[in-house]
Amino acid sequence: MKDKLRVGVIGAGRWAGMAHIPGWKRSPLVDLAVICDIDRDKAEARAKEFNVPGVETDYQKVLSSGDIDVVDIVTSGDNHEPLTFAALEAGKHVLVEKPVCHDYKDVWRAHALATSKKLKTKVGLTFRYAPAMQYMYDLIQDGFVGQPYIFNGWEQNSQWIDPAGPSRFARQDTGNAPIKVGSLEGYGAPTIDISLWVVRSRLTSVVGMLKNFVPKRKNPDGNWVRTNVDDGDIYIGEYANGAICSMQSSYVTVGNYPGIEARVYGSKGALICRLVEEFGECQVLRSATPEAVEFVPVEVPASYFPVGYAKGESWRSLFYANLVHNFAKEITDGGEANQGNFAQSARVQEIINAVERSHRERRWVDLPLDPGVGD
Amino acid sequence: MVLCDLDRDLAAARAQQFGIPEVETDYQRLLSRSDIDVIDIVTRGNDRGENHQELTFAALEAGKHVLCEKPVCHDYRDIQRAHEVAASKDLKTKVGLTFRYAPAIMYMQALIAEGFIGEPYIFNGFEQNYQWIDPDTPMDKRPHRERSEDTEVKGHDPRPEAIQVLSLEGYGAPIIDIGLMSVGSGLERVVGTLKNMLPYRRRTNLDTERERINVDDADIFIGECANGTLFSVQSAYVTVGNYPGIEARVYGSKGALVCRLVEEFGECQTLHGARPDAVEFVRMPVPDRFFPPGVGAGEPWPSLFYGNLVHNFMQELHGGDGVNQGNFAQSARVQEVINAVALSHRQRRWVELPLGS
Repeated sequence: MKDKLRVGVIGAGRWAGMAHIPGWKRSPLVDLAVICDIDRDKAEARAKEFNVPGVETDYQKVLSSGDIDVVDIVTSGDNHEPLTFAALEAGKHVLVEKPVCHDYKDVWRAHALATSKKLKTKVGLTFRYAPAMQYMYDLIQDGFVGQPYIFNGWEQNSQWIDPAGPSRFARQDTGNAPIKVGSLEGYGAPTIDISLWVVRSRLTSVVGMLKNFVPKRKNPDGNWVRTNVDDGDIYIGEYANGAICSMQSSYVTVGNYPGIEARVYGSKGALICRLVEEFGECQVLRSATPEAVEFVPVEVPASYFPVGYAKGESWRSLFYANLVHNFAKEITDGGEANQGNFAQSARVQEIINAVERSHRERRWVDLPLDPGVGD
Repeated sequence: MVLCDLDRDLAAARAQQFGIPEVETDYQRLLSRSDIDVIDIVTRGNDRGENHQELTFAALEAGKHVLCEKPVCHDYRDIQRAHEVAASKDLKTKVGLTFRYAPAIMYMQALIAEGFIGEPYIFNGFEQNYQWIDPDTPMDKRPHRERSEDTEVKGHDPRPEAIQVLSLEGYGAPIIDIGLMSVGSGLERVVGTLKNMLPYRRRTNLDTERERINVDDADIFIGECANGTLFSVQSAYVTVGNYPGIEARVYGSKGALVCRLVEEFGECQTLHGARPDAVEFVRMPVPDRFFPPGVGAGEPWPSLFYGNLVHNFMQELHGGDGVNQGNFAQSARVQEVINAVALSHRQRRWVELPLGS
């Protein structure tokens, strides 16, 4: 066996430069071999920035290379699905940014393919890898909250609160077409993941509503277009173990990034984890018990932080460093462990699909959506 | 001021405690006195837990302004009727929607009125506490010495759809009130779920065994307002956290405000605000004008908030104009939402408001 996992990154954009590549560079288990982008200048600039030896413009060449173990898909386009299937077919372990596919059934197909080839998968469900969130999960596993009663989740930001604000791309005019899923998929996914993970039960029913608060937006050409996209949404759900939840996502609500909050109330205690950059801190975990009902800060042990962590590090690199190192460790260890994989992403995507249906049909929707699909 | 209670000893002790000259045991005698302007109904109820409705109507019929603890009535239509009786007699009313009178909530409302949040997008409300988190805490916490035969048995039907409304009415009401006030619009539709997290509990302190009591000890509903605002409210009395456990978050096109009324480390209220150009929430100190007369540092929240409530009612009575916040009309709106959420739970569907239209 080789000493280190050899990794190829497909997509050299902003998020790759901010989160993925610095993460791979930090993991002692990894050798970052190649950066691939259809834009050669972009790939070369990133390779130079992070001292990566290989540059490629054709992803097929990365996939067919015999000395690449892991492919990281961080492209900005709507092409995660074909790239994912191609990488799995080529026998690579795959990390992919969300959404893997828009239909949860396709994510299950990808999971089945990976399983059949004994490949591990991981999805960019970044926020479960925040040190405070990982520690919260362990506290829950250890029984801190007892039987869970209520989960409340938020992912919010104010990225597009200004209708005339600058946009990097032209938006399509939606006309009077029914509302499109936007925030729920883009921002809801990580907290949905956390909600399933920490409550340790599956959802049996959801009911929710998608809203379009900013009806028109200004494109880079100065024209205003109708944008009937979900820019704020709420749903409530019931779990098989009797707990209930509320989940909210929005990109037109004032607050700083990453705008995640997860609250768990149970029979023996409560935990609140906030991942919101405020005054130099990007994560806060607080707890209370029936005997001490005023919430107090909980210190996150040093073992939950990635190699090279320094106080004040941006959440963008901090959380992703944990994510990629965790993936590298899962692959290297060779055991069954594979948190936040395609199966989990499929469960998350199924809920997104169920909430969308609940909105369109204005009713509670029961899960599983198709009893024949999934686990 | 006169203090009235069925239990003369209790009335006499309170009167002595607060230097009140007169004591009464028969509320009818109180209502028939012409030198009483305002009646404050703060009974905890008979064995069925209900007499606010009866006392309220009697006081209004006797021509008194009325302050009443919630719920005034369990059916919003009865509260609406009480409001109409009051209006027909030019009487003002007030309901114990305590938390809208917290200085921080009053300041929050003033900021919203000045346009701080712009157009409202989302309201999230919570009222939570942990007073029944222990299943050995009896459902009825009163210190009975003997069993009463005519006590209504709460939560006897174990079917999920037959769950008895409890937390939603007892704890949900004040935060629904604050939510409606904050977004400046009524709810058009709601959907929610009422849960019984602790199915087995002692019924009274005289019981040694736990029994199945199917009551709502935790609930969440979401809704959509006429002006498009998304709305969510959660209440529970089995969730860890200190009293009064209120949180109101409102997000709009120009800013966001988060008000917490939770006693922690000597503080019972905080208000934080953020704007698109300053997205980190900062503490917003509540100006002095939102505090009641005679407030002292570290005053406990029950007297602080209620000091504002009754003083506001007195100002409204003296003011002579039409202003009457938190009155029976508002309480009827809140109760209608509670009734709609209960219906939504029982029929497992979105329920449109107004009910019965």
